Amino acid sequence: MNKSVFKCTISLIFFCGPALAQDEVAEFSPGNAILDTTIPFAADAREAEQALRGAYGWATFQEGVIEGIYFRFDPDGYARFSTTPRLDTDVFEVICTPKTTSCLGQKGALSIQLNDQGGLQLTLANISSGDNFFIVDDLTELSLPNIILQPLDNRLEGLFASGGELLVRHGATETLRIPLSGFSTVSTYLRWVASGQDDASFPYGWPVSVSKTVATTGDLPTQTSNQQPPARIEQAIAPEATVLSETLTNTQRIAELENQIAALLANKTEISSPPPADAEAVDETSKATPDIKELPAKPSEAEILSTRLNYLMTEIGLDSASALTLLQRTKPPQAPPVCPEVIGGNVADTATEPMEHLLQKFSRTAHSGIKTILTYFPRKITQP
Amino acid sequence: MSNPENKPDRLNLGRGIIIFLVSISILIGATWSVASFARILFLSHEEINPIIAGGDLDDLPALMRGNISTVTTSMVRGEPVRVKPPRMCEMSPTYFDNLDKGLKQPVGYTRRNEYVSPYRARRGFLNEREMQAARVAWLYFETYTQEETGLANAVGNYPSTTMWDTASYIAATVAAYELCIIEKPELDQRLFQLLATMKTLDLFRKELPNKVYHTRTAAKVDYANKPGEIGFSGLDLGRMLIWLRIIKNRYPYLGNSVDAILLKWDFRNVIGEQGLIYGARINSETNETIYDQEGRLGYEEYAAKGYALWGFKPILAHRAEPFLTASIYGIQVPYDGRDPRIFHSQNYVVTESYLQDGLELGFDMVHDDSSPDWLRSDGWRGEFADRIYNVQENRWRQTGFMTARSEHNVKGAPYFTYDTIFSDGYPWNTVTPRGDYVPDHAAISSKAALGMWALWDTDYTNILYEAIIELYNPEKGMFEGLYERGQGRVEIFTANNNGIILTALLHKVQGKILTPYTGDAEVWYTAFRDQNIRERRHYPDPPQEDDWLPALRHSIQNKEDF
Repeated sequence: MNKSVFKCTISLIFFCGPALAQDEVAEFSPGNAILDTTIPFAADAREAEQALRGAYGWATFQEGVIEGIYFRFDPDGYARFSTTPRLDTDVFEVICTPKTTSCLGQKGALSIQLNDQGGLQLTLANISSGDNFFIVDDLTELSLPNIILQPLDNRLEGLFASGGELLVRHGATETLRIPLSGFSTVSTYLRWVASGQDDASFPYGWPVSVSKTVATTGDLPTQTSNQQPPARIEQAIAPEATVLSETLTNTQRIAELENQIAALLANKTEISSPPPADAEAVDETSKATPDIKELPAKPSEAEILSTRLNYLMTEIGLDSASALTLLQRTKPPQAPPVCPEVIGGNVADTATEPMEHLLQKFSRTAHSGIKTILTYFPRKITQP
Repeated sequence: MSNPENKPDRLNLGRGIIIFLVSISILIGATWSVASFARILFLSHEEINPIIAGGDLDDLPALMRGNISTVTTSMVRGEPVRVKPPRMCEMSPTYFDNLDKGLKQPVGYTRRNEYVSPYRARRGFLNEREMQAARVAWLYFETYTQEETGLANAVGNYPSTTMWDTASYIAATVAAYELCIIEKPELDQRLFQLLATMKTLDLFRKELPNKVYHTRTAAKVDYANKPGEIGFSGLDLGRMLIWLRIIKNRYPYLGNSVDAILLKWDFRNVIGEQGLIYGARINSETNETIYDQEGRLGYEEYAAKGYALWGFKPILAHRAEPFLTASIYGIQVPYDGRDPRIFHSQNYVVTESYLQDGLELGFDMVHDDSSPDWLRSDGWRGEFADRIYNVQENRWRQTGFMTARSEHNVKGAPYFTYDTIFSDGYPWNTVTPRGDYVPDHAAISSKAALGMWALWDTDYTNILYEAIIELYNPEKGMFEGLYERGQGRVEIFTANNNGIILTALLHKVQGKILTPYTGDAEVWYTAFRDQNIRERRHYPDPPQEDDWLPALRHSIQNKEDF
């Protein structure tokens, strides 16, 4: 049996939910608290009290919403993440080993956990050797290597965090399909818990509330729509974002930048035009032989542009226009931060992807990212 | 032979007598008329009904109102008072042969807004399987009662309890004695120790018992079970008041101990002017006490009866309004109409409060000490309870899911779930107190199943019985329930579950658990009459007929509304 599959199976035996593994489930004890629910996980989060019938259970919890993912967690780390305020569909559930910060996130057959080095370990139930893994969205289907069952590196983690669905096929038969919504939030939560609620564990751009005082009454984010705009603070942000902030404060530059963006968009049209016949031939060869050793050593300018855009939008959270602006102002990096071929599988698909499609693929992430940054500098933007 | 000459004399004599009588009548009539006229004319402002001290017309000062009798239906209607049934081991073998089940009574509301259900409660001796379940349920309390205080843990070996769960412990003790599992020395030892501990409890801000106490030390604690205070629960206290009344009425020798507890409590904030029930909590910023209305349809009315049993007037809390209905499997299921988005309190519809009302109070008004078991004198409560039963049977018939829903603990997170018939706009909604939807925790609740089995003698409850009656760990008690989705037993043991199961089994033997008060004056009503303590703490006077909570009816559902 594949080692990863075996590991996955063992994990499932021990982490198959509160109802299925009663003997493994600890009883309630206030000493199991590992989290302070007054410390916000995200900007909109706040502590709330729950009406208990007795002292058997947690009196407080924290709830909020981040990037469209609603969440609630208890002092012992037990948490639920979902795309709906009721936390009733497509739920990522997190259960922690009592009195430790070792937690496991589960959504159906998918489990994620931090390893000793802080890397994300992904496990899947009911898979067998010969299964093939894909990430799919409305437009694309990206083949994944089996190394996803080993600790994920940053690039694979970024890919999972970008959304879509994880698809498992055995031959031509689809055996598993799991939405990846909430993956990014849950992995951030696992790291936040493991770090003892240290804000430094948050990724760039993660919005955190100013106040750690909490409302114990009133409307709650996951229960009503009457939310007050959260207060925010600046936190460490990427150098690119700093450049962006400087750029945006200079209003005289904005018109000039708009012209540059228009020019770049024109170039984008050119890039996304159909490739020549020989390029198609190369593409087909790449599909047939996805060995990374056969890839060209030096990526083309389009690839560099593509990967840099990818990085700015997925890691930094900029929208396409801002990202392009930054590309004009900053030097090309020594090496691209994201190397699509390492993801494995259909390298050529990714490398030759039209710019238009890239922009569509990452538009959701970019939208929320730019919203965050604009929130940091609202006054500077509006001042003359 | 008769003398014909005497005939005229006799006629004259007869006429004379008639004339005399008529004259007398006229004279009397005239005299009465003149006297009446004169009385109207001269004495109209001086009409005096003689008032006898302590009599009906005597408006007694507070100092003297304590020893007047509490007025009940048997006194007003001249009906025989219900009699406390004997313990099961003291019943004659023919005890149930002539039990009045009212089988020929027409179904529906009566003129007095009482309700006759189409269903009857299950009555009879316990068989060996039921006795075994009762013994195992009692084992929970033998295992988890703390020697130091006499308090029983609410959940397994976690040393914490509430007034609600302590009431469940009292219920279990009464049932264990009446079912002959324990004898009187143990009953007395347990109850006297418990009542003595309750008298010494440190109250929440000198008002009422704190929500939670540590069972080993009897210290008031916070939610982390550390010394501190949280507030009080009006609902929990309502249930405790019911069980304190039950033991006082059943065992009059406990009366002084019970009264001594209540006479330390301050009721000024728990029942509002409108007759609503309030709980208390602490504002974490200002440290001030905040009183919030507590209770939703189901629990609210049950708790209200607890206060009414001690003379309080929770008039609004006892009414069903405001309520709405949701049509589920053809049944108009009633739920509380107060909007959770505004009042920040969920309107969970579960079986438990209806069961407790039926088992302990017979769905009767608290002043009813004379109606038969088959008559539910708190009419709308009895009728609503039938709907709660019917919708669960209908779900089973239409989906195959055995259904007996209540709130229940679970082992591991989230530790507690409201496994509802309806809540938050959804039928069969299983939610945690913080609002997560957790359908995997849906379960056949043991206490709900056996409670329904006791109160509704039907084929469906026979199936529930088979699912639950052997659902126990012989060393720890009855399991909390059976997961609906097939994950097995809810492997946790609680005082509430085991207490209600024992109550249900006792109901099969004895019927309605509350028995009439057989004494005269009560210390509860006579104490502190020479001080202003009664006024400050809002202690009531013995309730009279005018103080009775009204028996009401709501539109009845005669057929399913598919």
